[in-house]
Amino acid sequence: MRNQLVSSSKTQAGSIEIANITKGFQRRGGAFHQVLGEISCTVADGEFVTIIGPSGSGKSTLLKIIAGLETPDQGGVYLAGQPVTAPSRRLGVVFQQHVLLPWLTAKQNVLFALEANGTSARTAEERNELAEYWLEQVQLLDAQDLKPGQLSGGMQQRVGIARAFALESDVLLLDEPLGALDALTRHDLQQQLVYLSEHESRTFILVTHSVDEALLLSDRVLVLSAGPAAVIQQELHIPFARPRDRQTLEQSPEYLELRRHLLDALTRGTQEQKMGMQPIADGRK
Amino acid sequence: MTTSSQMRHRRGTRDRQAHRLKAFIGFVVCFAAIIGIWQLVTTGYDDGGLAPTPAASWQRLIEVLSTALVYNPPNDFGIVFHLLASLQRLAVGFVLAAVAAIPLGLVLGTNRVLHDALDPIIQVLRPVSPLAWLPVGLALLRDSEATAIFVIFMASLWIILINTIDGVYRVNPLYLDLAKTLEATWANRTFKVILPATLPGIVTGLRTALSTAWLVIVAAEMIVGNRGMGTFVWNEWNAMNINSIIVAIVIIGVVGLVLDRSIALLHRLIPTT
Ligand SMILES: Nc1ncnc2c1ncn2[C@@H]1O[C@H](COP(=O)(O)OP(=O)(O)OP(=O)(O)O)[C@@H](O)[C@H]1O
Ligand SMILES: [Mg+2]
Repeated sequence: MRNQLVSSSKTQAGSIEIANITKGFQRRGGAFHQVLGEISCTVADGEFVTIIGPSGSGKSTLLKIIAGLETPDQGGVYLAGQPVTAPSRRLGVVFQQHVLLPWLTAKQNVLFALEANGTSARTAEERNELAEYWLEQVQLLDAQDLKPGQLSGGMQQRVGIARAFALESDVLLLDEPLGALDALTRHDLQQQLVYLSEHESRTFILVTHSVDEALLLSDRVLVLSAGPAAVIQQELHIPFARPRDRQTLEQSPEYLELRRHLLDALTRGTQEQKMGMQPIADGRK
Repeated sequence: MTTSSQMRHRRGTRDRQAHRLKAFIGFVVCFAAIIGIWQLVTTGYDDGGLAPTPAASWQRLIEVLSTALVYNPPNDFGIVFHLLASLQRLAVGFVLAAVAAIPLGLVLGTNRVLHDALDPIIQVLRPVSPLAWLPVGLALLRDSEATAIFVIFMASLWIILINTIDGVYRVNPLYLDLAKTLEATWANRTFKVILPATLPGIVTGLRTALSTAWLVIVAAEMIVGNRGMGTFVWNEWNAMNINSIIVAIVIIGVVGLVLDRSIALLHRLIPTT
């Protein structure tokens, strides 16, 4: 498998270990809401892992903890063996809502990511080339001088993706990067993500609601149970050979089998949630 | 297709023109009504020009405008020089306040401890009428010109400060998360993320502050200063020249409107999504 190939040829720079983390929030009115139960898992360097789970189960919270944007109540996250205590450029994030600075053009947004920490091994010209390279990878070279307000939702999300890749972090954390898009754009961008992830030896952790997206992109899928106190209730290896092609993939009987299995696990999670008298709108932002 | 959309477009234009015409007629009617009431109220008191009638005020407006450029120091200035004196004080006090309040607001907006420490002081000083600072200014600065500027400064400072802090609090928290994940330096975080995101709040503050300062300068100049719109009003009052005061009210109002509109243009410079 791909991740084994990569990890044998490279150091473990992008390996992630999540050790016994839990997280809860104090609700207004004093009640404590346990979002994540105890969660442990490891992600190998170069592996593509997808976290899937019902809405409000705590996927974004988990990703934020990995990114260092939230601290877990217990346990810890380790990047290449080192504890993650703060956000770092080694952990790139594509946010659930695209977060482009509206006063900068598409290209300036990418350049800002390259220059924000004040030190760069690259010259200005090299950074410029890098930004253009990644905008080209997401077919946005023509739109590089437009402000986010002038871009469509899909284009904005692609700028966010280009920005995250341009950062050249060891790990990319993607929180439903395609969640807010129409089916067609989404389909198209999934294709681009397969291509990019297969050509980049980085570790990917993706959060999604889409079973097909998970199967297409990942080496492994973790299914989070419905909250409160969500845990990893299933772990699935996705054995398809790479490079992957959606058509052939979707025709294989194994794909249908895995798909049914995943959907099953997901609906089981929601049913448990309903039996736990959890209001349906709970956790929606 | 095309013709119907053109027709719709034309109808839209016609509707808008009709609306404008109605609004204009309404304006003329109201304006005439105000003049009429004014005339009614003042005719009974026709006591040698003390009560300002519309006609006398109009007369006086023409006079004031025709002597607008008179410049005979130390006491005889045309209205233009009074206006310029007021605007100059306003500009100096306002710019000083902005220069102090915007950086301070950014610091207090990003530093919770400092904010909570200074907040009680700000909240107590904020509702104080800027004119209350006038005696303090006179006592400390011993100069009427500097005192007038000080009063403008005090009038603008709190408004700009509070709006800037509020603007920082309204910055999309995801922008701050982004800055964190990019390990942005303090300077990049402050000047490339927080400051641009705070601009709408800052512009609102500047706009409110400028209107307030313009209200205050006229009052302050009645007490200090030898030139300015306030001085003009005060002098004319002492000369029992109430018609002139009506003229001054109109000029102050128009200038205030122009100031407000010009600073509101700053809003257009800020892109938002
Ligand atoms: N900062 C916070 N303060 C309080 N509660 C929070 C906070 N962040 C998240 N939560 C709660 O944690 C739970 C999980 O939220 P989270 O955003 O992680 O869900 P999610 O799985 O990403 O959902 P979705 O699929 O809709 O994006 C929700 O109940 C939410 O109300
Ligand atoms: Mg989420």
